[in-house]
Formats: sequence, C-alpha cells, structure tokens
Amino acid sequence: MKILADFHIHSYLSRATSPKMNLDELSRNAKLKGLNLLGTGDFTHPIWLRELKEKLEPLDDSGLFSFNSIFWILTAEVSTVYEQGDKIRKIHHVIHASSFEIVDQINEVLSKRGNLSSDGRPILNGLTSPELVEILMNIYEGTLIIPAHAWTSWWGVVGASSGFDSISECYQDQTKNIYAIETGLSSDPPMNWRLSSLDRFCLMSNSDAHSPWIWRLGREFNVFDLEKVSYNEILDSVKKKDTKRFIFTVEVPPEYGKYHYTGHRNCGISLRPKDAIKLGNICPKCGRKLTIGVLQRVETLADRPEGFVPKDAIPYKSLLPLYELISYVMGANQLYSRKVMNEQDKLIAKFDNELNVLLYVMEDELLKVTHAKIADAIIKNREGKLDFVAGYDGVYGNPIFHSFENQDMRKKGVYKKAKSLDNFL
Amino acid sequence: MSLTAVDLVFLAKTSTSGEWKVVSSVVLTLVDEATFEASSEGITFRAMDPSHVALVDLSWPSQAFEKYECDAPFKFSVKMDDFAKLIKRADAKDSIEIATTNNENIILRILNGYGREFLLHLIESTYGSTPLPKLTFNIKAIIAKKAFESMLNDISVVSDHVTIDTSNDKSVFYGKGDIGSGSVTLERTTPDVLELEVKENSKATYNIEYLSNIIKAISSASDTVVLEYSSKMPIRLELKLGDLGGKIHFYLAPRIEEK
Repeated sequence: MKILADFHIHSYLSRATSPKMNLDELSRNAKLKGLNLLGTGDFTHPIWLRELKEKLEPLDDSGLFSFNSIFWILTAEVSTVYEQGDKIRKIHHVIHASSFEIVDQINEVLSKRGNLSSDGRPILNGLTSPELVEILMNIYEGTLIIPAHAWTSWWGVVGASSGFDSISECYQDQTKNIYAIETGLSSDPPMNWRLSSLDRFCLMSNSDAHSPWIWRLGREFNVFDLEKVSYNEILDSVKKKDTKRFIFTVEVPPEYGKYHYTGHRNCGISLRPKDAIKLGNICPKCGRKLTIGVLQRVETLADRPEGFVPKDAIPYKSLLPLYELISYVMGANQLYSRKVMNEQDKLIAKFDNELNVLLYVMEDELLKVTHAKIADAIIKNREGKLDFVAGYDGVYGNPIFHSFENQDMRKKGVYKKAKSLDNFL
Repeated sequence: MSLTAVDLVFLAKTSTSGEWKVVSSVVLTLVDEATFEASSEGITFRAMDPSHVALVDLSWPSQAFEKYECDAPFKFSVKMDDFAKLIKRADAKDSIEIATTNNENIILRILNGYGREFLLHLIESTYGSTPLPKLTFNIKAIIAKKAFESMLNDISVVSDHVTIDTSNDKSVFYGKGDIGSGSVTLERTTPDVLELEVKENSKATYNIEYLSNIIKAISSASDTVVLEYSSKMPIRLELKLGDLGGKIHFYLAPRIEEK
C-alpha cells in the first residue's frame, strides 16, 4: 500500500499555530491534499495528548492509529538549548513513538527537563542532543529521532547560527541512533547529496505545518510502498534507506524556502552565496550581519560538486503547492484569495485531491477544468521547470512566470519590493 | 480546403510588417496569451502582467492601416508565442493582413509578390477587462528613445532599479547596487530632451528590466519616448506605433524604497 506521510506538524497548542490545527481539520485537509498518514505532532503537550488518547483508534499492534480514515503516528518536536564549544546550541528534533505507553514514559522524563505545558514544542534547557537521544533510547530503542529542518540557520542541526558542522559533532556517541534527517524547505536532496558525511542518513521531508491548509500541510512529505502498514515497517525502511519501500520524497523547490539565499529581510537584501561572501556576509545597506542562507551553508560544508548523486539515494519530486501556483499565475497578492481558492477547489473537486492534480492528471484533462495558463504552470511545476526568485531571511521565495524576471535579474540578488498597479486603480 | 475568407467580419492590413512585429514583441513581454479587441475604430489591447506590476495599453486606429474593415466589434485571443512566430515569418517590407470570418480562427497573410497564408486557432480567454490606473502626472518629458535606452543600459550596470529625480531644469537618473552607483543627467537644454514640463519636483524608482524590455520591444518604431510620472507613483511611457496615430502606453508600478 502506498503511504503518503507528513510526520512533522504542530497542533493548535504550539506557539504561532492556527486554532484549526485539530484532528478534524487536519484529517479533512490531509484528504484534500492526498495524504493518508499524519504525524500527530505535540504529543508532549498534556492537553493535546489527552485529545489524542480520546480520539485516535489504535490499529491492532501496528504502532499506528486511525481517525477519520487517516493513519496517525505519534510524533512531537522538542527544542534542546545548551552550550557546546563556547556556543549556544539550539537544536530541534522530531520524535516518533509507537505507543501511548512509550509517549507517557517520554513525557515523564522530559517533564523534568522542561515545561511541557508551556508550548506544543517544548524547550528543554540544558539537555544536550546526545542526552536526549540516550534518554529516548533507554525508554524504547525503536523510537525514531530525526533532527528537524536540519539546515535552518537557527534550530537546525547543521544550521549556520546555532548548529554544528556535522551530525556526529552534534549527536556524538548517539549518532549511531540517528538514521535520518529532515531536509527542511530550503534544501532539497541534491543539496544534501553534496556532503559525503550525510550519506548514511535517510533524507526525509515534512511540512512542519502550523496551519492545516493544503498549501501548508503536506507541502513536503514522504512516500512509502509498504506490504504491511506499521510503525516498524516505516522505521525499518528509514533505517535501511530501502528505496523499494521508501520510494520518494516530495519537496518544495528549495528556492521557495524562507532561508535559501543569504540576506537581510529588513533591508530587502538577498544574495547568492558568492556575492554574500564577497561582501563579508555584511548587509551592504545597514552594515549588520546577513542571515546566512541554506545554500551558502551547504556550499561551506560540501565536499562534492553540484550534481553528485549517491548510489543509494531515495528519489524525490519537486512540487510547489497548487494554491501557491495558481496564486502566482493569477497575480493574486494577498495570502488568501477567494478567486485562487475557487480555482484550486474546482481542480480538486474534479480530480479528487491536490496531489493527483499536481502529479498525475494529463494536461488535456486539466484544460477542461482550468485556464490554460494554470494548466501550463501545473505541468511546468511537475517537470521541475519553474524559475524562482529565491527566499531569504524569513521571506518566502516565489516562482517567476514571466520573461521579465529572468536569470539576469537574479544575478544581482538585490530586490526591492514592487508596488502593484492595483494600488493605483 | 481553401483558406479564402467568406462572409468577412474583420480585415486589417498593414503595408509593412514592422507594426505587427512591435505589437507582438510588446505584448509578449507582458503576457503569454492576449485578447485583442477590434471595432470599426481600430484595434485595442490592454493587459497587465501576472504580477500586476506592468500594464500595456495599445490603441491602433483604423486609419493607421492600409486597409481596415470591421463589421462588428469582436475580440480575438491568441497564444502570443504562436502569433509572434507567424509574424516573424514576414520580412520588413512584407505587408501583413489579418482577417477572420468566425470566432475560431484568424487568417494571417504575408504578402509580397506571392502570398503566404496561415490559419491560427483562437483560444478562449477567461480574463476580464483591465482598468487603467488613475493618475495625474507632475512630470512630462519627451526624450530621444536612444538616449533613454542608453541611460537604462548605463544604470543597469550598477543596479536593477533606476530612480528618476526631476526638477525644473533637469532629470537625473541614478542607481545604486552592490558594486557601486551611477547617474545620468539630462539637462533641459540637452538636444536629447525635446520637452520637459515640471509641475512639481518628483522622484520615483522603477525596475530597469521592465523598462528595458519594453524599449527593446518597441525597436525602431518610435524615435522618442514620452515619459510621465509623479513621486512614488507609476510611470507611463508613451511610444508611437507608426506615424498614423497608433500609440502604446506602458505603465510600470514604482518600487518601494525600503528604509
């Protein structure tokens, strides 16, 4: 059975999340998206955990649960903050557990290291990454721990600001219990393949969604083909990087990510790695330090040229969510547009779910339902032929559908916002 | 099957191919699909680019054509790539005739001694009408197109954007980028400045790429550029399309100066 899984999300009990991050909305949107397995997120939070225990139905001894015809796996994200090598380290980890009994034990131990009620993603002050792994392994060695959004400048295990130069530098003797990393929105597998030190890790992709809408939920996910749908099957395919069972990941183009290029949001400065290095990583406008983007961080740590593909690499597909695609084609400026939503809903109603639209429906079928430009953008998206203005310092990247904003425009890497003519109508 | 028109509803013939080449280049810089509106008064086109930063407003009166017939107003939508490819088949001296008898195809004839005839399927367009920005301009400058183009090329070396600062006696165009800065000053007395009207000193910043693309697209069809703008407001460029009243207005939104 094909399993399309987004393991890393948050509930409404995490900070800065939508109040709609509840099981009903999540499962409804997962179906619209085309996903059939979700991580619960936030199992460390007592209120969310109570809801999970009340509503999720255990699926025999599979280590998975069911609610509203969606498979669920117990997951949580924790933040370890500690000092190592004269530097404050802030690392996020995603924990996957196979039963509520294990979750209860995890929470009991972690509650002594941080306030689990304060946030769905609790901060564990003073607990190091290897200590966290050791604690979890002592509770149950089948617990899967993954460094979250590994490249993010803050909170990523190899991020430029508070991360390390390698996974083993972070997890030390417990690296043996780390089998995968989450690549995050601003990096894709080819970027990660450039580091030989990452070869032994499975590259996973999740949304880290804070709202349930299908342009957030499942914007990155993992696809498995499993004979038996169970926690152990998923764990084993990840541990073994088994390309027969873990068949591909879906990624947003890394340029779309908010931290792809190096830059300074307040000054509207966005730079390619070599331009940023030329400037000494100092903002040419205000003289402050630039936020180093993931592309630059990868360049710094890479020991292989661009384009290198390891022999056991799990394949990937690059896709921008449908809503965002339509939004850019239609030139909608606001985050939520009724027109865009109608167009998206029309396509999903016709073709069952968003992933069918994005991945499988033929162009002539799309043309019967939507505008030629949107159909063309869907096909270009599927074929990886979209060009982007890259995201930087917390600003999302955006695709270019127009010959004006061509490669030359990206060369300089410096952007000022254009007002829309709509403001003058 | 013959492509000869019967029950003619529309025919527009230009004596050379230059105007259509300019029109297709200009439109192509903005959109992939275009809807032209034809009436007894001529052909018009108006559209914004997908990001709503730029707008083209084309007005091509019937008297600008060598032959023009339009029985009733109608719209025709084409894929611009295909349309431009067909137009490009014409040499400079070839005349171009576009005709239709129905709402499904247009017939494009390239004529110069012998005739070439293409049938192009029309497409359905779902896009509605585009209103024009409501603007008053404090600056109006008529500048030699060559000087304007050269200025854009100069500033583009250092920046993606050009700031235009006009006072009573001059327009200063300048840009600043990672590698440095540059400026071009056009004094009122410069021969390339044919006219300069200043109601109020004005300064605004625009993307060079958009301006350059439109200037390149206009090619040699216009010797001058009429440039109109006000502080922090869109700029309007007026470009001539032939000598018989055809006009292209190009609007571009300003860039936000971020502090």
